[in-house]
Amino acid sequence: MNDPLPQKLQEEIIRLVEGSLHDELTQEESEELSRLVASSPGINQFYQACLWDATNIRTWAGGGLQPNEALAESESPHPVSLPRAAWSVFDWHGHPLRLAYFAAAVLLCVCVGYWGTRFSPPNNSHRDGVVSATPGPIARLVGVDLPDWDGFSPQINTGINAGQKLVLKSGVAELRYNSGAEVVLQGPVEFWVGSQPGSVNSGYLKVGKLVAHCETPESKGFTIRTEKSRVVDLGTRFGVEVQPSGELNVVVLSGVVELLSSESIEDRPADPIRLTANQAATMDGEVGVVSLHDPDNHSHALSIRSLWQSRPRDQTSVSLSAAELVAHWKFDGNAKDSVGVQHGKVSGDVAFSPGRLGQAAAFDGDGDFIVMGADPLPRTDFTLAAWVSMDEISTTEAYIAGTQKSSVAGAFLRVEPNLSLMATVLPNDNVIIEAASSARQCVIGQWAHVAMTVSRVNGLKLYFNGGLVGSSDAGKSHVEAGNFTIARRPDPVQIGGSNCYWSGKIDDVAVWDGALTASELELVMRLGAGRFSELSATKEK
Amino acid sequence: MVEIEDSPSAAESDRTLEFIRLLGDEERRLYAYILSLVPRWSDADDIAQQTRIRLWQQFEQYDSSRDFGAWARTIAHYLVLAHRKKSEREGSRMTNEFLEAVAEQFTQNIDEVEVRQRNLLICLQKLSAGHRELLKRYYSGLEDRRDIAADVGRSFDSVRQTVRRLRLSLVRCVDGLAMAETSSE
Repeated sequence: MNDPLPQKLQEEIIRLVEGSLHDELTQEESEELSRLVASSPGINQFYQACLWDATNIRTWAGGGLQPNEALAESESPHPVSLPRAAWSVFDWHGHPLRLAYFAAAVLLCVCVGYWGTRFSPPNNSHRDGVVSATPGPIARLVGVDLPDWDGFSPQINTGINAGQKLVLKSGVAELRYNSGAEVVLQGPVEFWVGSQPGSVNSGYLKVGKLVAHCETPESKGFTIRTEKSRVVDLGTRFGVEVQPSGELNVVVLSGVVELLSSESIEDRPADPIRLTANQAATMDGEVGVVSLHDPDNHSHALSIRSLWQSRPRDQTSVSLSAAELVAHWKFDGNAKDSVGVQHGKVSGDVAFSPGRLGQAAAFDGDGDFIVMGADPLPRTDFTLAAWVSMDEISTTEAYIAGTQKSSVAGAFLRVEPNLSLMATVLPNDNVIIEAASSARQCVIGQWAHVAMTVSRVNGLKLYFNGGLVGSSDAGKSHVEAGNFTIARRPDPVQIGGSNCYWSGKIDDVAVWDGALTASELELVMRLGAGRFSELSATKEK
Repeated sequence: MVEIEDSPSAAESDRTLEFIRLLGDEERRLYAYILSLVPRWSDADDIAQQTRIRLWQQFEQYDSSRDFGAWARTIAHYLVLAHRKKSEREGSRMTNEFLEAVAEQFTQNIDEVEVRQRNLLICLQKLSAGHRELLKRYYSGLEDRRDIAADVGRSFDSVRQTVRRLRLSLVRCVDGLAMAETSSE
């Protein structure tokens, strides 16, 4: 099996395939598709997969295939009986391709299955250059929560070979070993699946935190090794954390584990310390002194309990609740749209200076604004979000971003003279729907994340620093005005002799095609619009 | 007592049923093959129809000891080449490299067609109801796609982009299930 293609390339092939199916490609694009497919077996395979899926979707859409509803909840990878299409008869129980997959898995194992030959390898280089002694995956990835991988980036259900190093910079990932042992990793963490040749029921934790759960008979004896210790499960749930200093913390949530120092392992007969439920131990990173303590009063124990309780179980669904980012102005030195073509035209003396995420656009409140050539806001079901910071109180409304044509069209975010945030949509001539943050106000000189969502189902919602602060059920859509503008009233109509300019900084302005949920907007605030969209795409895998 | 022998019409009928059975077994793979070589609904539909007719016309020449699918694909391939000649006159280009690469890859992965179909049905159920409905309308061919966009209050480009995202997610989901099968064996 070929390595996955880069996401951008996959997106491009999908675009070309869809265009080709519907006869929408130019001759140059057709030739480009033809050239790409002929250039690489991996692209060829992806291309054919796209077309076969298209055929199946078309048949399904025409009523030729009826999915068994029970399958929706099933993760069974085995052949299943499905209703036959009237014109098509298949042997669902024959899968010769399994052999091909198996061969591919073995090949993958040889390619990536580097293995350490010693206990507790001190660095990465030690693990490189030696061959795995255990063919085939010994674990698989079964859950993730906003994972940010460094290097090897497994997807849900990816089989992971013994000796595979996993570096999770942030987020959470859950592995399930073939033995039944479950391991939840919390980034930042460096972890190897399997800890020595031939061991299929162990892992090596270099640094970071994990929780292991061993319930099946096959998983008994599951071992987590660290540089200076070995933690052996005797039928339990336990947490292990290795600090960058080398300090080791072990917490037993239930059952029993044995903790052995590396000295006891290598130089003299094992002298394990037995830990039972609700016991914890800390091993000094330099001299290996172990101290026992009450986990309930220990922050590491609390964080390990928390990690177990929040583990991401079986997130294999195709989560498409996140809307699509259709325009994004990062203002990192310019006003270009980083995902689309709605590039901004700068007016006045807008500066780009350090902002909330990278650089921000800085407006002096006196003629500075950015206008886009077109309107990225869909008529309904959209989200508009931004980071904003005001330098001074305005005597008039201060517009953040949006569109407007007097009182007949538009949708926009602005700050009122009393510093409350306001979201407005104009669904019909002279019908103005507003939602205001009466209880939350902007603070001069402080960054705030602001967002509005408009949907046919839920109407208009206004968010301030990730929290819902206002809403109006009537704001289900808007009349498009076609003059998307940042930092000035879009029309522009003067109010009190002012065009309602923004004085301060605006950063990370983003438009989604679709209404984000509150929890999604909280993530946008935490991660930034670009990172959020990248990770929501990751979750879909 | 009168002996009743198989009449010519009965034998013919058996042969017809045999053809229908073989074509039924192979139809999905055959269409996938044609579409891989000619990735356009209208052209692939035409060639598939021509192929069915040609297969029936030449069925008497078919040696039942041979793989029907391979025989059918050979005939389909000739019709694809004929289509290419016609298309070239109209300005379209399908290079030999493209056709050879696709045909070779298809043969290697032929059984994946059914696997993908089964897994796709599972993955479709994991979409939201709204996205599933959109995909169904978009692919059913019963409505103009621009009308669908207007009906859901979005631009055509926006709907098209959403469909592309759904398609990518489904490809990944189907691949993920295939990998899970591999790892479970």
